[in-house]
Amino acid sequence: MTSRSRGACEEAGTTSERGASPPRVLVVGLGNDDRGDDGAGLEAARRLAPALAGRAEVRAHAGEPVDLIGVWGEADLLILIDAARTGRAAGTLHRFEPGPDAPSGGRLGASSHAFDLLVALRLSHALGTAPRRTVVHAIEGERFGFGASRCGAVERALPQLVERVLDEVRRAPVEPASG
Amino acid sequence: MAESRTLRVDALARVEGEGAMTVRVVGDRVETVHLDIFEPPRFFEGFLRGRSFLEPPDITARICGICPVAYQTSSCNAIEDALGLEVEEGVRDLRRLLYCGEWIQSHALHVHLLHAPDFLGYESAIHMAADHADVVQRGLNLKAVGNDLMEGVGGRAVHPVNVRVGGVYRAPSRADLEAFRDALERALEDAIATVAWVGTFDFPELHQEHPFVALHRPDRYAIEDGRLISSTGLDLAPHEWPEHFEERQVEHSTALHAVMDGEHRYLLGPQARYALNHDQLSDVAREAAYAAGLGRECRNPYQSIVVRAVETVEACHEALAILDRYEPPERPYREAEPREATGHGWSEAPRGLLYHRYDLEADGSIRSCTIVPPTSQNQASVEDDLRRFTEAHLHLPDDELQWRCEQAIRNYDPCISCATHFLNLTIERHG
Repeated sequence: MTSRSRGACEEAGTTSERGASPPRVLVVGLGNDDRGDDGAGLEAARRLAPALAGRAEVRAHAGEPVDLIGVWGEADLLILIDAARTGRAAGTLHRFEPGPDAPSGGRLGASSHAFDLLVALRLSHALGTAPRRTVVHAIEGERFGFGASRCGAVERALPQLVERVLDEVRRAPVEPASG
Repeated sequence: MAESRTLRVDALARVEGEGAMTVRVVGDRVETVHLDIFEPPRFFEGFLRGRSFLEPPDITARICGICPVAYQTSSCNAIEDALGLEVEEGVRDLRRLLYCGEWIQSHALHVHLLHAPDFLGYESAIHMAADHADVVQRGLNLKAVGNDLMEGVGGRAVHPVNVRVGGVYRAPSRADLEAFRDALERALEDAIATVAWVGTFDFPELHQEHPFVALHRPDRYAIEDGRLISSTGLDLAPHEWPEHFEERQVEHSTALHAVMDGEHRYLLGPQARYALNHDQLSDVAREAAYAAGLGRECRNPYQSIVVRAVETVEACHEALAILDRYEPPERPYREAEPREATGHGWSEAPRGLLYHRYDLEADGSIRSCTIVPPTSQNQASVEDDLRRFTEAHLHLPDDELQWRCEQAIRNYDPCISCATHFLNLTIERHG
């Protein structure tokens, strides 16, 4: 793990003890604890850290996309946990695997304000520093106000989100990097 | 009837924030140029009223995610001026080191990800990375060093939390700072290589006549404080700002325009600092600048990318110098009793001079305040560049002219959210 971007990135708890060249599984919870359901990714990372000790590195990050490129570099499997807002019911869980050309709401040449997570992944692929495989687990939120607490539906769905990520790590078809 | 042309860009790309531009051309004359700043006003000056004098460093930092240290430093300078507070030298060094981190990350982001694609013909840094992965990665590495420095000194990279009126909440030890030395030495080498790289770009011809305005100190390249000097002969202390500068509302922008002693435009930022403070640059930054083809001043706005890269060298060099001399302050901060007073303060944000003024009540609550960010002050100069560049290049087809106009705006690394007072591009050709 590079020391870069520590400002927004903290260890969420126990991290793995890595051997010489084991496959690197990195779980990153994204969000802001002071913005209600947006903190769900961070809370999931905190709950996952003890359970994944020795199996994966678990991090919490504020989500600034350019900085994330330095955080996820060289992971074999990257699991991102974030809150989402798609219009579905709060607590609904989403899972998808964005590839190098995943469509993004952001614009490639746009204002820095439109530089989003998937644009960062595309830049990382262009640089050859993208994780081998990326999986996004997202939880639908509804309450994102300043200083808000998480809504009941998100709280009730968090254990299932955590279980899904644990299962993702358990069955990850990750092989040690060659060479 | 003269030929008319209209060029439109509804959302200007590769800038900090969102805005637009309109250019209306009738025949061979540019009739109007408007840099339209349409992000809604954010009313920071309004909701600071009645708040404690201790709050502006944290509240005004939220004006910008790229240059929060500028807001923290200018607000502290102004409030400390009002309270008659002098901070210790160790605190000054910490604030300057934090500011170096901000300059490194902001300049690295703009040079590599936002501005360089213009010169190499790419739509974005992602497209550029396919052919120039090494330089894009270098930019990301530089930005990361800046962010790390901001976190180490400020507590976190975005909206640092360690700055307070009277000092800092916690002063790191020498050993804490020494941990950044290796990364800063690599960053210095990367920054020097970046100057050499951008110095090879082809720059469109454009000569600016804008008066330069920047902070100045005789002993070092002014960043976190200094006196305001200009190419027109001004030499001012912060409290003299209101006598020489005036903000005016214009119809097409939610950012106020600024006027200096009746001059309708003046230029802040890297080119102004470089010209007015050339003698204060470190040898390593000056040598990198000369090797890249710059002289003592640079009046071609398209070469601002070279100046920005030179300032990145300066910031890395200065950060290392601070590591060499840093002595932790005896007390991280000094308390001050509130009093009825007015204070003025400023500092050099990556985009130029940022002025703050606070009127305090006897209990320390804020009666009124004024915040004047650099992008709003540079608007008139941007519009003048666009007008003159367009008039000299009317032969270009609309798509190429539009590209060059957008590039002319990016020369300023405008921070629209700071100015909010900001980009879509519309060029109209009529007649």
